[in-house]
Amino acid sequence: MTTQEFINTLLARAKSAGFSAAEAHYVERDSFAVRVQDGEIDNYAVNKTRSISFRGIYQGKMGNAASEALDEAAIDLLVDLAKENAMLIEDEAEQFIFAGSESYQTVNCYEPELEKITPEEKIAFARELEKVTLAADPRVAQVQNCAVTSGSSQEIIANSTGLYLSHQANQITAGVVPVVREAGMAANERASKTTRNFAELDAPALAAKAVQKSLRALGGEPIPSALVDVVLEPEIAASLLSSFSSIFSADAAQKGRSLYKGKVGEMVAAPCLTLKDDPLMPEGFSSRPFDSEGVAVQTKEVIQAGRLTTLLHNLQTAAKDGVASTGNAASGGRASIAPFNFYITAAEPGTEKSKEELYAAVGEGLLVTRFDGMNAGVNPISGDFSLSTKGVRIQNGKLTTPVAQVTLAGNFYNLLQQVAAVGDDLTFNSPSMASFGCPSLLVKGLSIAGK
Amino acid sequence: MIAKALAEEALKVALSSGGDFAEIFCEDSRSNNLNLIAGKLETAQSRRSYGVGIRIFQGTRTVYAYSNDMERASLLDCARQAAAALGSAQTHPQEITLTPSKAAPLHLAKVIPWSVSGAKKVAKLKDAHLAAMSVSSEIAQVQVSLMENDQNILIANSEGLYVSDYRVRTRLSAQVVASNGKENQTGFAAPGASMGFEIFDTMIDPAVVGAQAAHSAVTMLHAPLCPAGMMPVVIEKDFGGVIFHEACGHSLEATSVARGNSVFSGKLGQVIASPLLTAVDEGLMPYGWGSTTIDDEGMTTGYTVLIDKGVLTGYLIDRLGSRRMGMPRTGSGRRQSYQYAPTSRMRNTYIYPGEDDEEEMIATMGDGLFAKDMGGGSVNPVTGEFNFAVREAYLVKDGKIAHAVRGASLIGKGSEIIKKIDRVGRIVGHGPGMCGSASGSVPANCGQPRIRVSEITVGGRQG
Repeated sequence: MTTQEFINTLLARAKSAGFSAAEAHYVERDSFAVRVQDGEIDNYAVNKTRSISFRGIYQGKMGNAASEALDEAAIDLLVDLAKENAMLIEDEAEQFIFAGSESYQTVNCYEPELEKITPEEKIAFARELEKVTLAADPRVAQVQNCAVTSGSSQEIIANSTGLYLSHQANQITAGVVPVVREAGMAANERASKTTRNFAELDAPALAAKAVQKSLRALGGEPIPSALVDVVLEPEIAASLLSSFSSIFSADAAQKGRSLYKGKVGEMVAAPCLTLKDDPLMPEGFSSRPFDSEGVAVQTKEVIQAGRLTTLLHNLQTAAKDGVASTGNAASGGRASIAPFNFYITAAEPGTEKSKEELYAAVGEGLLVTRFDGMNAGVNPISGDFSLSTKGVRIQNGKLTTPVAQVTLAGNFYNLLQQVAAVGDDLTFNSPSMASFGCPSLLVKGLSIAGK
Repeated sequence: MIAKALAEEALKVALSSGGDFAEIFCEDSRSNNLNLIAGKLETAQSRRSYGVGIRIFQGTRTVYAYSNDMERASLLDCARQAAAALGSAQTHPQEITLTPSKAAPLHLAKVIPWSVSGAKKVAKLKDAHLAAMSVSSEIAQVQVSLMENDQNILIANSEGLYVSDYRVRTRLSAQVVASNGKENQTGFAAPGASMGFEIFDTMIDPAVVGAQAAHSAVTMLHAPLCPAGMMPVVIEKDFGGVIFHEACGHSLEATSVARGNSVFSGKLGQVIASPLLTAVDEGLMPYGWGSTTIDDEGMTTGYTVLIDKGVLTGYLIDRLGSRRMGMPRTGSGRRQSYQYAPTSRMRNTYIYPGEDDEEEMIATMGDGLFAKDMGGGSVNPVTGEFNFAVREAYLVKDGKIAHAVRGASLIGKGSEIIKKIDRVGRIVGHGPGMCGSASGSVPANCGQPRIRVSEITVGGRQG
């Protein structure tokens, strides 16, 4: 059975089982990974998976079921399970199977040229990356991890209203983690690059970045506990934004899980910053023309010069609030709303500061270069965070000695108001579920726990 | 899933390019997730995962390939691709003869999840919801979830193994938000075990779970911020064991140890911890959240003493780690699903009971912190630096519990912290968690008696 036949049969079977509307979301992925160690291939993986998520409205309630087996038996299983699940639902909120937006913008997320890169070329790159990393500095004792991964995906949304949308994407990532050692001390920091153009992967540049980051962390010592001003490096600030992105979900607000409930139109952040979601960014790794409900995506400012201008909506939360969906429906269970390419930028172009200007403005404080424990040390409902932190001390407006074994604590809602200046170095992190970006941020008054 | 003859054929293909060991892991698993919000069932989701992973070794080089398709042609193609990735050498492997066996079950789920009506499950969720709501008028939101899954696996390898196993796990979780309109605080409780629906007869009372999470949320809403700095910390039994899991456990996994990356590499037989500390990792605990009859490489799991009275006695070793280290496997090869090659992972990890009095260790600690309920954490095995979040903490003043504090985290270096354990209590408890690492997210139990660490950095928000 082809994918097309499978989807058609599934939707037809749903109709005869009594679903008033139904939708299939099909995802196919190919992935490749190679890891090298001491010039040899240490691990090599080639994978192909496909899965189908089915949802349908039965007696006004939405039922869900998903399967990785795509055979005749799976069709009945999906329809039966979704029906059983629908019959358990008590929530009365209106459910939507979407008939389609008027138009969809095109955004190219698939480079056919990338698919022509052979496994041998990727392996050769990984070997080269390991070699130049080992040679970059005498203190590089070994390479902990050196890998090239690539993947492509194809996605189809088809539903009983006749909507049929498809989207293709691919990318390649190279990453390296050296271990640097000196006088009994060790440090290991990662550098990676994701692109759709293989020629953009630059082994010496990546090696230099990873080694420089690791050397900078070598021999970090705690500093005394205090309230300090900090500069968050772009990747660090972006990872914090990622951890707290759910506070911008209208679903979270409606359920009292975000303090932004009823706050649209109010000042919630420092006037110097703007927060955007741009799903149509040409070079974005989470770009796409439609969300997981099939609604056309749109570029919008979520915070404009400190003012909350909108929350992120899907069809259901938009209906509850009497607004239009922002096209931010995400697939998969409870994370029903998510941004795509979500980033902080200066509210006024031209007000961005260089790194040196930010350090000078801090005077005495800390440059934060790494957080650990993002899986546990952040609470998106309260906004509280308390994270194991590494960095470099700022004294007299200049970077001085490495800092480790301290925690940095604060509250993300407050942090957005404590931003005093925005850097000129917007950087996007390697995409996971979505892409998050940030420039360096100068944040006033966060708590350091150390000596 | 995959018939013996086809497995034999695929393994032979996998070894056709110079590999010296090949393994097939097939999985057909099902999960159900019910989510009750504000007293109403809002989402119900079911998922079936289905696929096969093929792994080939040549010395310590490995290739892994997986696919959703278990049909003969696809499986052989997957094996051929994996073999081609290893090299172009044409070798003619011997015929492989598999001997079927079934893992002798450690424990059996009595009521498999799919035999119970949805209505009965929803009723359990509502019990938790009602209990949580009745705790305080400050309870703003209650979310209760039931997660059930089963996993049918089959492992075949070129050493002749052809073994199947069936695993069932059930977990109830309650997350409660307490609010005063300006601030939100959360409480969380989530017991689980390798059991079916009978878990509600023997182990979980949903009302207790809901109330526990609600009490924690309300307590935190009224708690001032935790002070920051170095201080003695008493860590409660049960999931408090996550401190050992992060501070030490990950650094004893072959993945870290084999390449000399771990701070504990090459230290077997040496004193690395307080003489009060004995710690084990075992897969055998009946109904344990992290238990498996066989590991994901088909080996019967065991009981591994990691630290005996402060002396390092063992590592957690999977098949690849065993080759790299020249040491026997410990039944510790685990993976989230067929989409991951297995690596060395923890199962049920806990600190062994000691002889210290649970009350005395607080009474004699002076000023410090009592960490009653822990969140998760992480560790960098190269430096040994770990961190974890404290969900519910109390400030201790002059040996007496003074009041709750919010927003605490603990950080340190594993190798230093385990030397500073100066009290180990008598009663061990366990708590379930999900542990993330190279081979994905796997269920792992953390346990310990109440312990005291003489000095640790507490991350808080007041200088």
